[in-house]
Amino acid sequence: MLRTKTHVPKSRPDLVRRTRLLDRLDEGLLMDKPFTLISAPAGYGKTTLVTNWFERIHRAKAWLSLDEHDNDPVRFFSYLIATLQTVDLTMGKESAKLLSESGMIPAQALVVTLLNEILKAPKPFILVLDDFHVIKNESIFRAVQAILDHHPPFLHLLMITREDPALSLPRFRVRNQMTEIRMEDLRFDLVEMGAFFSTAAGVKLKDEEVAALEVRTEGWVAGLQLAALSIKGWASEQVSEFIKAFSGNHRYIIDYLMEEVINRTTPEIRVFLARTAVLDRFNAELGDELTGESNSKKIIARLEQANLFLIPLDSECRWYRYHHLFAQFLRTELTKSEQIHVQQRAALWFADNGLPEEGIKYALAAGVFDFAGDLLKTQAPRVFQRGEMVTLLDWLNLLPVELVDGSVELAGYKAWSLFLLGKSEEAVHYLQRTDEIKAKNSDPLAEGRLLALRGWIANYREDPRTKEIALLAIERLGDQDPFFREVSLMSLGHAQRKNDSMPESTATLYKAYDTARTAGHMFTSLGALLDITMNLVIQGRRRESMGLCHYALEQYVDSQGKPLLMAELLYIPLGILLYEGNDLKQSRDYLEQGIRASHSIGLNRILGGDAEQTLALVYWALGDFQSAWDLLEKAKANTDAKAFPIIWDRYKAFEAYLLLNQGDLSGALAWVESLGPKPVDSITSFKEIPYMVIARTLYRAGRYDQAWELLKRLRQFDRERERYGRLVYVNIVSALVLQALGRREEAIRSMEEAVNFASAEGYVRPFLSEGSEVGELLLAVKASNPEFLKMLHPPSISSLPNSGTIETLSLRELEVLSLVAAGLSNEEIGTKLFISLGTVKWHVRNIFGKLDVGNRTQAVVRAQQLGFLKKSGP
Amino acid sequence: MERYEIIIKGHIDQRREDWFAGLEITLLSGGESRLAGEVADQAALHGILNRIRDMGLQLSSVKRQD
Repeated sequence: MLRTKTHVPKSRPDLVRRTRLLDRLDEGLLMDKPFTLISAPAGYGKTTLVTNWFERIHRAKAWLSLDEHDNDPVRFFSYLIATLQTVDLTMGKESAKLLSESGMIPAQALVVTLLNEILKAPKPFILVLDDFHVIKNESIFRAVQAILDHHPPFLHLLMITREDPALSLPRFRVRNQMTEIRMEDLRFDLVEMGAFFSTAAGVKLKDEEVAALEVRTEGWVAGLQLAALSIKGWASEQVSEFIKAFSGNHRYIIDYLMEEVINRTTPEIRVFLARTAVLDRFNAELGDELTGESNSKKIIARLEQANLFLIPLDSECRWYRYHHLFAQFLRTELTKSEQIHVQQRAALWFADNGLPEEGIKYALAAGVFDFAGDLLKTQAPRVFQRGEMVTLLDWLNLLPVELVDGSVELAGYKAWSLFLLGKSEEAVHYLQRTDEIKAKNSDPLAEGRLLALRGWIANYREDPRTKEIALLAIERLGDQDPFFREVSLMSLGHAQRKNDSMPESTATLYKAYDTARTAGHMFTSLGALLDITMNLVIQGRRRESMGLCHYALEQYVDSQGKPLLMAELLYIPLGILLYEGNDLKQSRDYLEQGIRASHSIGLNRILGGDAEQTLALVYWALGDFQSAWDLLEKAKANTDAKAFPIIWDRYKAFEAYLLLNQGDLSGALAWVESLGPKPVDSITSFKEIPYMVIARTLYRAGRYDQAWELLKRLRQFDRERERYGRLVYVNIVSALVLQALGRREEAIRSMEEAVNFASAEGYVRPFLSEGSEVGELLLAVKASNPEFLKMLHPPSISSLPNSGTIETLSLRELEVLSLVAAGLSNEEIGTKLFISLGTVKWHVRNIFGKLDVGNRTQAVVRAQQLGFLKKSGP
Repeated sequence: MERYEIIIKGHIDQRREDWFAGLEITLLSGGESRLAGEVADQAALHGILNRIRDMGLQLSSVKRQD
C-alpha cells in the first residue's frame, strides 16, 4: 500500500487569495450539500484551491490521489478504505475483510457493507477524490453513485477531475445537492492576474500587459505561473519584451514557457528533470541511480525552493512527482530509447528496494519481459490474495503469450483471474490450453492451483469428475495456499453431497471451514458454514445445525455486535430449521431477513430456492395463502428456466405441491403427467423434493400402489445416504400410503420411526403438514417419548394453549368458521365475504382438514374446544 | 483503421507526434494545429483526446475523413 496516495497535499502559500471560490466551497458545507465537483482541465489550480480551503476549515479531512491503476475495483476500494481510516480507524474494517475475497463475492456485497460503514461514521469529514478522471471502471462509478445517493450524513465528497464523471450530475444540480466549480470559475481574472504577478514574480505589470497576458493565456493558471517564473526578478523593459514575444506567437504555452524556464537552469538539472519525469514518483536515491550522480538531494531542494513544479507526496519529503503538465513536457526531452533505458534502471531499482510492483510496472513498460515475468511470479500470490485480479490480469496480458503459457505458475494465475473476473468461458478455454503445459513443469503447488480451478468449474458444471479432480488438487496443494485448498475442499464437499453420503460431505466442508477460518477468509468460511448447516438440515441433524447458525450469528458481527451482512445469510437455514420445529412466526421473520440479505448482496437464487420455498410454506401454514403464491411467482420470475433448469423444475414441483394443499388434485396431477419427472428416473438429491410431491399427489389420487413404489425407493435413497431430515417426511407419507393399502402394521412402524427420530431432533411440522390422517395413526404409535407424541396429536392441542399449531387456522378461515357457527350456508357466507362459492367450499374443506372433522357441526364443536371460537351462550 | 483530423488551438511542437499516436502535426496560420492520420480504433482515438485534455489544450474539432 502506497502511503503517498492518501497523503493530504500541503497547501502552497496562496499567491492570490481566491476568496470568491473559497466562499463557495464554504457555502456547500454550510448548506449541507453532500457533494462538491471541481471539474476543469489540467493546470487550473484545482488541487491548490482545495488545499488552501483546507487551511481554513475545521473538519476531518481525507484525501485519495487516484491513478490509472485504481481502475482495478479491489485496488480502488482498498485505497478508499485506507483513506477513510485516516479519519477513523474503525471505518471500513468489515469491508476490508471482504476485499481479499472479492473475486468470490458479488461486488454489491462489498458496496453495501462499505456504505453501511460510511453511514455509521463517527464524525463529519470531507473525502477528496483527486484526479477522478482516470477512473473508467463502471463498477466504481456505480459504487460512488450509490454512496452519494444514500447521502451519508457525515460525509462530504469532493471530487477533483479533468472531465465530468459518469454520475447523475443533472440530478444533483436540480436537487441543489452539489457545489460545482468549473473552468470558467477557476480562470484568473484581470485583478487576480495583476495581484499574482506582483507577489509571484515581484513584477508590477502595466494594465495593457496584463490584458495581453489574459488574451494569450485565457486566465490559465499553469500558463501564468510559468510566465511568472520566466520573468521573476527581471527589469520592466525585459518584461515588456517578453510579454510582446509571448503574446505574439501561437505556440503551445507549456512548450514555449518551459523552454524559457528550463533554459535558465543548469545542464545537470535538465538531465535530472528529464530522467526523473519518466517515473510516476521518485526520490533522491532513485534520482542518483538514474543520473549516475550523487547530487539529487541538493537538486530536489533547489527545485523546491525555485517552485519548479515539484510536488511532495508525503510529509517526510521522501517521495516526489512533477505536476502532470510539466512531467509531460519534460518527457519529450528524451528519445524513446532513452526513456526505455530509464524505465529499465528504475525497474531494477524498485525491485531491489522492496517495491516489486513498481518494478513490474517499469519492466513491462521497458519491455524486459523475462525480468517482469520473474518478478510477477514472486508477487502474484500476494496480489492474488489481495484480490486485485484486474491488476494481475493486466500485467499478465502485457507479457508475451508464450511466456505466460509456458509457465504453469503464470498460466494458473491467468486462468484464475479470468474466472474470478467473471470471464468463466475464457477461463475454461484457457484451462484447456494449459493441459499441454503441465508436462513441462512439475511444481506441484502451481499444478494444484490449476487443478483447484478445474475442480471448481467441474463442480459448477455438475461434471462427474469433480471429486477426482478436487482430490488431486488437495493432494498437490498440501497445506500451502489455504485459499486454493478451501476451494478444492468445497468442490469436493459439493461433489460428495451429490454422489455419496452426506456425512462425508459434511466432514469435508467442516475441513474447508476450518482452513478458511484459520486463514481469516471470512467469505469462504461463511460459505462453508452455510453449506454445512444446509447439509445438516438434510441429514436431520437439526439441533447441531441450529447451534451452528446461532454460533455464527454471534461470531460474525460488526463492532456493535450486529451480525454482518454476509452472516445474515445464516438466517435462511435457521428459518428452515425453525419451520420444521413449527415456530412459524420466528421462522417467517428469519427467512424474510435472510432473503433480504441475499438480495442486497446480489445473490438471487441462494441455496437452489430452498429459502423461498420454505418461506412460502410458512406463509401457507400461517394461513397467508396469497403471500405464498406471490412469493412463488416472484421466485419463478427471477429464475431463467434455461440457465437454471434444476431450480426451475423444483419451483414447478413446488407449485404443484401448493395446488395439492389447496385441494386442486387435478392441477397437481396435470403436473405429474406433463412436467414432473418420470417416476422411473433414478433418484438424485435435487429430484427428491419433486418426487415427494409426486408421491403425495399419487396418494391423494388414490393411486396407492404407484405411490408406495416411489416411496420405497425414496426411503432407500435417504437411508443409504443418511438423509434423515428428508426421511421423516418420507416415513410419514409412507405410513399414510401403507395404511390406505391396508398394511396397518407397517404403517404404524413407519410412523413410529418418524416419531422417534423427530422427538430426538425436535421436528414438529412434518406431522402437521401431511394431512389429518396423520393424527389417527399417531394414536396407534408406541413412542419412546410419550410427551413428544402427545404434543403432536391434534386433540391434545387444547391442553397446550398458545401452541404453535393454533397458527394453522388463518384469519380468513376463522371468519368463515364463525359464520358457519352462526348457521350460514356456503352461499350466504360467500355473499357476506364477497368471495365465490368455490372459495368458500375450499376454505370449509381446509377447516375440516385442519380440525380433523367431517362435518360442520363437528367443526364448530372442535373449534370451541380448541378455543378458536367462543362457545355459544348457554 | 480510420482516418481522423483533429484541430486544436495553439501550435504544438512536431516532436510531440509520438504523443499523439503518430498523427502528423501541421501548424495552421490561424494559430491552430492540425493532427491528422490513421487511428487504430475508437479506443486509440479516445486516448489521443485524453492526451489533448491532459495537456490543457483546447479542442476545436474532430472529424472523420472518409
